[in-house]
Amino acid sequence: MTNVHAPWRAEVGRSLVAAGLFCQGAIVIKSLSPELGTDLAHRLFGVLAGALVIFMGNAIPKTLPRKAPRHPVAEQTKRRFAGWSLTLGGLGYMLAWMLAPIENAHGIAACFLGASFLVMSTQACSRFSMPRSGGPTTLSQG
Amino acid sequence: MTKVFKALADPTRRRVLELLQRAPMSAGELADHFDVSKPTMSAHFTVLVNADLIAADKSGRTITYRLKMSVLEEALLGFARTFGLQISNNDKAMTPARARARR
Repeated sequence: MTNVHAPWRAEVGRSLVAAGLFCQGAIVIKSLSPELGTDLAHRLFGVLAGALVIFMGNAIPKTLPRKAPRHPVAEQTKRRFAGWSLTLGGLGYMLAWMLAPIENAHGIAACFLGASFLVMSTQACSRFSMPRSGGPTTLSQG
Repeated sequence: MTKVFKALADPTRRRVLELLQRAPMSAGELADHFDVSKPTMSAHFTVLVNADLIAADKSGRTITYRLKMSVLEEALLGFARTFGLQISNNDKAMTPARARARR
């Protein structure tokens, strides 16, 4: 008999490991901040936060709902859109913290992330992207 | 990750993923887009499912395939589509020619 909880447990395990790694990274940066200097520590925190957003955005389209959705096409489109916008927003956030002048980095990074959240939320809340009749088109395999 | 690269190396499988980007489709609907036999298509679907790029939902006699690609995998698909991906000679991935030979 197969264990139906195994994929769910593996998913939670992976997420906990990732969360642990990010927390550990933050602690390491904090502990090294006197040696690194305030500016570099801020930049590294920003890069780490951007990496976290990319990690989450990357996983969104891969995480399928347990039950078949009522509108599979719209559901898939929204998931892909959310994943791409969050990943690109996270990438912009990360690059801004890496490359922008330190006095402007926070503002530029926030603009990238804010824009991606705004676009994602607008698309997710859009009623017009939901087709009236959904359901996977079904043809017999045989 | 090797499985993903192997899955993306074949143009038929890339085309299947492109079709599934539009909407989830049944095995029969997907097979209609290709001039290959059903066992060959079935082999391609197996490779894609094993690479965790698509998910199969079975209801009755119908298998519906859904896209299950992360953003990075989709970016890789776009890269493979644009520049092509070469598979090495010792690649064990199921190719249509290999599937035909097996039959």
